[in-house]
Amino acid sequence: MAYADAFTIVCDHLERATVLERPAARGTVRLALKEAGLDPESVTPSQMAVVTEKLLPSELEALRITDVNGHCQSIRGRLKRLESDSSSSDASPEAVFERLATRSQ
Amino acid sequence: MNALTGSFFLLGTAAFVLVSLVIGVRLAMLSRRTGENPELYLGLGILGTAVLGYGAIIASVVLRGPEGTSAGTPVEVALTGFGKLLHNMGLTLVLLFVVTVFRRNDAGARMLFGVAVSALWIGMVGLGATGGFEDMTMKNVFWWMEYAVVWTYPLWGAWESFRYHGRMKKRARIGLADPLVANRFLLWGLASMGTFAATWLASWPVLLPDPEMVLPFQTFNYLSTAAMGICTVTLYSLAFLPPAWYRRWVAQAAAPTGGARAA
Repeated sequence: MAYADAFTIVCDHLERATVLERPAARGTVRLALKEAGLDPESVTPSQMAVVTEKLLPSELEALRITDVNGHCQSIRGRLKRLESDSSSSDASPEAVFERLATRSQ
Repeated sequence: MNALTGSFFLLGTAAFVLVSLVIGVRLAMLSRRTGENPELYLGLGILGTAVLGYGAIIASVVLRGPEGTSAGTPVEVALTGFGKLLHNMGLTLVLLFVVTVFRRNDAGARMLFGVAVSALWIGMVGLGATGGFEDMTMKNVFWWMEYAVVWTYPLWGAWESFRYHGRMKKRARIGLADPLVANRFLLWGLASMGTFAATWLASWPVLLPDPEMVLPFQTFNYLSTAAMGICTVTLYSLAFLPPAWYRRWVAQAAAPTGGARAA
């Protein structure tokens, strides 16, 4: 299964810059994504940035990771660069359902 | 059937067909503007199932009369076949909408779609070839193949929509989704359940061994089918043509736990 770049960036950062090993880093990010109703396979950089701001800090604090704010800020910076590189997609279910009630003319 | 029941059934059927027509045409026109396929699939799917197919099948049943389900004139037989053709084209497009929107890269879902659509069309063609359009009481293996799909297909869309609604509610809590769009998944799921219920209520009597056995249930059948049709198009209207008061109500309901949209 192919993971979204935004998911991989966050996991790679946690694995490299904290005491978390690969499975723990991925599990932590998965938990935050599940709480946000998102998937590791399809999460976009902008969605991941919101999760990193609002949900990931509490997950990392529960694991007694130090300098949580510093890590999250660094991750958001990388996600912002990724966001500007990637093109937006209109194929997601929410994009389709958002369009369905718009005016036809 | 007394006059009151008949009037309510007529009103329910007219409301169901007219609102479905407006929404189907609107979605098809939306696809011309956006150039996207999902709205085209759903728009034509609604037109095929709820407007043209349902309309032709109802016309065929009305022409045959209460005693005429076992032998039809050429016009009645043609209407039955044409109605089934349009209905099943619409059904295929609704399933295509579900697969395209919710399971775009899922090989298992594409396989399920292929199996369902094959059963539907083999069933319909086989039924027509074995005299099932003349004799509407016929229930051979082809009839079962077709109706296995007709009776269950709305459940797939409902399941996907309810599942996604759960996710969207979570996203809305942290400002990652519009509460109105999250609510639209719930409405479409409920409308799909309404279609499921209306289809069963309208067609369960065909399972009875003797058509006369349905007579004690006829009034209930007409009333419940019409009521379910009205519920379904009300849900469609709130989902696809939400009035200002409904938009405000959803926004206010989400306000205590929702935040400002981030994206």
